Parts: sequence; structure tokens; C-alpha cells
Amino acid sequence: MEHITTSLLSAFLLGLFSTAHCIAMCGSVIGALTLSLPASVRQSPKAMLPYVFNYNLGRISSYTLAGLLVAALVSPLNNIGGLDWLRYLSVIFMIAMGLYLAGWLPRFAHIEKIGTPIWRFLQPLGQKCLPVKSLKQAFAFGAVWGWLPCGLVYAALVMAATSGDVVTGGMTMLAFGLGTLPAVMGAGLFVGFLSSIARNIWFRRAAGILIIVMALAVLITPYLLLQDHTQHQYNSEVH
Amino acid sequence: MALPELIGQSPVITHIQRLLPMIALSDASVLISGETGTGKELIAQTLHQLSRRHDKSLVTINCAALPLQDAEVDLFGRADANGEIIETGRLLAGETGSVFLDEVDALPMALQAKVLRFLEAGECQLPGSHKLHIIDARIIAATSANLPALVKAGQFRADLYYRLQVVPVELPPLRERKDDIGLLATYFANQFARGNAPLRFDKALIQQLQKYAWPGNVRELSNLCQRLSLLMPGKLLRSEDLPAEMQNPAKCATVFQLPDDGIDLAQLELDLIEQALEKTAGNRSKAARLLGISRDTLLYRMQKYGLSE
Repeated sequence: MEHITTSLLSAFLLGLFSTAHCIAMCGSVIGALTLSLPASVRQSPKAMLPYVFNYNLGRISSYTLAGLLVAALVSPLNNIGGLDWLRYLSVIFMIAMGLYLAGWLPRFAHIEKIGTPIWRFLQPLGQKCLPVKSLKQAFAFGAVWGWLPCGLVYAALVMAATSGDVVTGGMTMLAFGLGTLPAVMGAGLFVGFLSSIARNIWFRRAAGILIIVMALAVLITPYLLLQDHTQHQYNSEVH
Repeated sequence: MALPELIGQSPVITHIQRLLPMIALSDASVLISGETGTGKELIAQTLHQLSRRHDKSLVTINCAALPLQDAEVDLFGRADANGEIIETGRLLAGETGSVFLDEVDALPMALQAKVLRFLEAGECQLPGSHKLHIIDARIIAATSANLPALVKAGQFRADLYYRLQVVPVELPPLRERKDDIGLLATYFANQFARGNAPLRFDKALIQQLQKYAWPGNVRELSNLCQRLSLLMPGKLLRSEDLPAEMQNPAKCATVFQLPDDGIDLAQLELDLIEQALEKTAGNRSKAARLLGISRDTLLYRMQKYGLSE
């Protein structure tokens, strides 16, 4: 149970710390989506919110689906002890992601090529939803947008794969998506302010370092839990 | 549909290639930023051609070249007291199509408010008339200046910047996408071959090109390939065929030897700016040219050192 909570929390934080990345990579899509809404909708935050919500609901649904699929694909590894290896891989991935976000490992972005074939297939479907006129279209566009090749999503997917259980895998990606929500939803509303933060190299470095620290925390948490557990056992045996 | 080609396989270019179709179809105004020669106009053309307006015209307006007198008429046109248009402005020429506002940072302050109004509501008031005219044109703006710095210096309206910045496309300088240099060089070699055998590059030469800083970015590379294609068509180029500054970029880059006991960089910068202004009798454009920076950058630095009035 502790493992699941740690996994969900780290996925959420990974999403949250990636604010700068999300705005830099997806800021223009969010802006274009917002501006392409009819003026009557755009001028009223009340009318716009359901659209922004649906874009994001679609996007996060796709992440969750991807989490379920990846976890299902790797679940057979659970029986042969492959998950420990996957966990190390996930930590390496997160450290690499942190270094990339901080601007110290730009080549990590090549990882995005993994998703190119899926994107080639899905992109025309996304095009059909534009310009977005209904909430249904907003959701559909968001769902396609969720598959836009992104190194950060792949780092989260490796994390989801380590859960070893389909439902937890999906929930991990859901938590990750929720973590990206403040940045991506906020970008539509406070675009100028957020984009100036996103350009700030110190902000990006801090985010990258936080992710590296978190990766290390993910690495040592099970040992701490294990120690804690052994201590408990020891205590109960003594008393 | 034949699209202008955005050449490159580096992650940042691939990402832009993926984003453009989405942005293009949205009909939203776009701000393309990037150093000179990074391909801002190419992006504008691509956006136009991928948009639903692709069969309409793309009108290019260089804001730095707007006439000093009557820039407003040039841009918006003129109407009589009844609101009848008597002179078509360039924005109206882009009606139902797209308008590319190049060097948008040079847009006179007085016009910035009108352009903002147009962006917000698609309407503008033509000089000579009080009637509001609706123009259906999509705006694609571009700049190589540091707009946030200009906003801070009070030379660009913050509200217009924030409105343009909603859909940003940021083009990286060539030195940040070195992996694309080989691909681009081959592309330009084929383009400029004009029926002859195209230039060829050996591996060492490409590595040499990757070490160079490319201040003029892709345009500089294109010009180099064009010149070499004319001078040595079909040749397998080697490092010694390159201009001197590219053969040994590190050596040429050192124009000033740092003394062992160091310098005060801010003082040096201030001195150089003052000298440049003195030499040009206060003409900022000429002073900026002497310093090898844009006028906007000079104004920003002058502001920083408290040199502007």
C-alpha cells in the first residue's frame, strides 16, 4: 500500500515539477486552442472553463489509458522479478529527465521518437476536431493531444510500468496527469506570466533538480520502508 | 499541397513540425520568435499554407520598413467621413487570408494599440472615418528582438505582447541544433546545384561547420552553400575551402584577450556604448551597428546603464 501511495505521489509531483516543460512544449497548443474558441466563449471564463476542462480530461484520459496498457504489457515480468530492474530503469529515466529539464542533457529529447509512429496515426484525427466548436470535440482533441510525443510522459509511463499492476499503472498516469493540470490549465488563463517563468533558467534548473532528488527518494524509499518494517517486526518480537 | 520545407531532425525542430499543423488550423494569431536567419518567414508561410486560408493571400508587412509618415494609412488604409474606403491598407489586402507582421517589435507605439484592438476584435477604425471596419485576416507576427525587455523598457506595449505571446513558436538558433547542419547543408547544396552536380561535404567539414557559431543562422549556411555552389560546383568540399572564420572558429572568436587580472565587464560595456554614441553623434541606429547589436538591444542596454533620457 505504501508503495502505491509513493508511486502515485511521485507521479503527481513529477507532473507538477514539470510546469516549465509543459508550458514550453504545449504552451502554443493551449494558446491556439483557447484563441480558436468562438469569441463569445473566450470572453467569458465561465463559458471557457468547460472547454479547457474537457481538453485536459481528454489528455489525462489518454495518459491513464497508456498507463493501463503499459502496466498490462509488463505485468508478466512481475513473476520473474523483472520489476526491480524496471524500478532502477525508472529512476535512471527520471534522473535523465531532471537533467534534461535543467538544460544539462538536451539529447534526452530524442526519446520522443518512440511515440512518432502513434502520433503519425493519430494526428489526422486531431486535425479533424479543429476548430473546436463543441465540448465533445474538445475532449476528442485532448485525447489525441495526450499522445503527442513527450519525454516527460514516457518517464511517467516507465514509473507506471513499475507498479506491476494494471490498475495502479493507470492510476499512476492519472496522478501524473493531475500533476500537470495546474500548468496546462493555468497556461490558458495566465499565459504571459507562466511563459516568462518557464523561460527562466533557474526555475527550470530547480525543477530538474527536484525531479532528480525525487528519483533518488523513489530509489531509497523501499529500503526505508523495509527497514521500518524489520524494525517493527523486531520490536514486536522483543515485547 | 506543396509546403515550404522545415528541414531538421533535431528534437526541437521535430516538435515544431508536429505543432504547426495544430496551430495553423486554429486560426489563432501566432508570435514567431528567433534570431535573425532562423526561418521565421518560412514558419509563417508554412502556417498559412497549412491553414484553411491557404488558397487566399499571405500579405507580408515589414514593420521596420513602414513609412515614418502615414504608417497608419499604409497599414489600415483610409476612409471618408461616411466610412467608405478610399485607400486600401495592407491589412485589408490580407482580407480572408493571413497577414505576416515581420519585425513586429518595430511597430510604432501609436499603432500598437490599434493592432491590439484589431487582434482582439478583428475591427479597426480607418483614418478619416469614425466607423469601425471589420477585417477578417489572421495575424502571424515575428520578431528577433527580446520583446519582454522592450516591454520593460517601455518600448513595446505589454498588452500587445501578452496577446501575441498566447501562441508562441520559438525557433532555436542554428548553434543549438548542430545535428541538423549536415542535413541542411546537403539540402542547400541540392537546391543551389541548378542542374549541375551538387556540392559534397566530407565528414570532417561537417564537424568543422558544427563548431562554428553561425550568428546568421540557417540563412548564413544557405548563403555559404550558394556561394560555394557557384564557385566550386560538384566539388567534394574540405575544411580548407571554407572561409577563414569557419576554419578556426575558436581562434577567430577571440577578438579581445582577457587580461590575467580580469576586467569590469559592465564598465567595459558602458564605455563601449558611450564611445559608439559619441562616434555617431548620438545616432542610436548607427551606434548599434558599430557595436554589432540591434537597435532594440542597444536601447535596452542604455536603459540598463541609465543612458537614456
